Amino acid sequence: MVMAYIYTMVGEYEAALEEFDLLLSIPSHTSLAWLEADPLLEPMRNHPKYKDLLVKYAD
Amino acid sequence: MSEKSSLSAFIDELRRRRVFRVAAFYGGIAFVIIQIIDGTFEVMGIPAWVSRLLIILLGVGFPVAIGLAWVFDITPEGIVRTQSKTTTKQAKPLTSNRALIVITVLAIAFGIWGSWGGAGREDDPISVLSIAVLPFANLSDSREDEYFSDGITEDIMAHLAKIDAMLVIGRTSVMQYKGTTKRLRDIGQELGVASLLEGSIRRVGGKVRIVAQLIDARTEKHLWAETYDREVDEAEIFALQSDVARRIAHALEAELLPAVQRSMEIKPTENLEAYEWFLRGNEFLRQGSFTVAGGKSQLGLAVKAYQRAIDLDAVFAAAYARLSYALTALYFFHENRPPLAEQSQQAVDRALELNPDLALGHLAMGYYQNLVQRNFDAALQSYSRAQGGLQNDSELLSEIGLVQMRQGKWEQALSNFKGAAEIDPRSPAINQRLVNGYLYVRNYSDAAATLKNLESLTPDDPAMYSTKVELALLEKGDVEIAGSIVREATAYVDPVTVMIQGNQLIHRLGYWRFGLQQENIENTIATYSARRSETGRQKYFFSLGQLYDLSQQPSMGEAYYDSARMWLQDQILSSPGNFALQADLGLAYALLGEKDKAIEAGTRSKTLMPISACHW
Repeated sequence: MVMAYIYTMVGEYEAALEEFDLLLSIPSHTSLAWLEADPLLEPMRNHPKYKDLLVKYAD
Repeated sequence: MSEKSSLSAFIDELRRRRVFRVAAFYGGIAFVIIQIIDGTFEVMGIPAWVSRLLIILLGVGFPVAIGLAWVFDITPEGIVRTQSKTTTKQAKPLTSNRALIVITVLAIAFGIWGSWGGAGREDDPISVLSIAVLPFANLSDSREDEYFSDGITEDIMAHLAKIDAMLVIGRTSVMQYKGTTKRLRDIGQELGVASLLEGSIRRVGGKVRIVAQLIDARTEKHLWAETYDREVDEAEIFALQSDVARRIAHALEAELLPAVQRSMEIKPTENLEAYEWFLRGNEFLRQGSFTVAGGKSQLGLAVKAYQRAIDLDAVFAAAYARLSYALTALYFFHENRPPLAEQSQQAVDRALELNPDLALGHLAMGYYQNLVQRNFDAALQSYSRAQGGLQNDSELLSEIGLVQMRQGKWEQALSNFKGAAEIDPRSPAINQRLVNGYLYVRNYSDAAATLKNLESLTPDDPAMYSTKVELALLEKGDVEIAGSIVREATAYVDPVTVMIQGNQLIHRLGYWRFGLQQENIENTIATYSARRSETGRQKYFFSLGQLYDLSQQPSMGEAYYDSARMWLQDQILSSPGNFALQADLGLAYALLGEKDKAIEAGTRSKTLMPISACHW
């Protein structure tokens, strides 16, 4: 999870999204709701692939 | 014919054949018999299987009685077969066979339901072999002797836990009843046990009087009681503890295997003074584990007490084992200094050299392998060996669960946490671990239910509120609810304490970024600064940086992130293979805007410990 945050903070959103994709696919201390709420992740939420992630894990 | 009139005819037929009357009569008699069984059999010492058999027979007898009532009738001429009612013009009757089948099926279903606990059974079955050893009252003049009476209580518990199929409620749960005025019946119900052991210890000079009483938790009747007047020396004290355990096993008709009997006879040391230091160490270790405030100093005191015990008895294997455990906890949770880890390894090696079968030794080894070496397979093997001597031990089960979480064996981990919570239902630490497991597998409803239970146990625990905040954010991403939890917590705890808790990334980045404390940032900075000793260094630097960023003082924020970077680099010099330090260094660089170095340190951390090797 730290790596996903590091990528987000340095502006590597695609790499960050890959990390979050992995974290969402396994038991982990993250969720879509968390991604939507955390202000630190706000820049990443404008990336087009972020919406794909929302669709992939929406249920 | 309508269904309604058909049903009405059927009911008339039941009435005519006196089925209702027989059912009511049978039910009444059965109820009275069950009450007699419930109230007297246990007191008279009649085995529980006799009660169960009678209740089952009553259940089975019910459909038979109904069937007989349908078929036969009692008349002045004796018992005769009931005549079928002649067909009426209004209603076509159900055929006798069809009606009989319906009644029999219903009655059998009722009988089975009743005999299996559906009807009239108010309480869940509690195993006869379940006991809570309540803390013995310390009647000695010196409060210093508290550790002694608690230690005796704990040793009796440990002996009892060795008995196969015996559920012994864990220490954390029973210690909450120390000095309680609650009724024994209520305590038994809260802990879900059939028996309670209570007692007192009075130590005067070189003599000790120990009174122990075994009590039926439902009736509050004494099952066994004994007063021991002994000299305070190692032979007498250890013999007394195993004698109490043996007598309880006998009173509860538990089977004592020869191997268990032999293990009860083993004396941990020949030196009573060393044993007393060992007990003091255990008390400090408990106070130092699973706590934030004061944890470090209590662990330090535990280390000193165990070292004193070893000075007095250089072959005291259990003291070496516990010393190692305390040093590992100190190393992992508070001071990441390699010499501590080395001392821990030396102590556990010595413990197992002195006694290769020592369960506490294997527990300490597993703890070391998990937290220092990160060798999870080896840790599980050590814990498995420890289970040979520490059956039904909630601490051990819970540690096994933690390792399984790291390995990604989520179902097994949760199963072990639940098992630990069954043994120690009122342990905050175990319930906290269970909640954390549920959060990981995104089972938020069970996490909420367990948190509710946790809140009733520890309404003043900041870590509990911190976990509630995490749940609100993970489940709903609801910052408003999270904020209201922090505000509600102020009735019990300082909100800053809630904010500096947390298990995960929040350690470094804090809840601050969710704006939960924005209304009074300056005050929060002052409070947090005054309490810096309660948190790890990097967590403190990161959180202060976040707070200054929020208060629009970016240069101050940067200074703190740089302090984190320097401190981490210094730590990494002595622990280059520590993946957690590398991850935090990457985070510090990211906050300082040094992209390449941030990615480099983060990647190094991932290489050292990929998710596939450590899921948690």
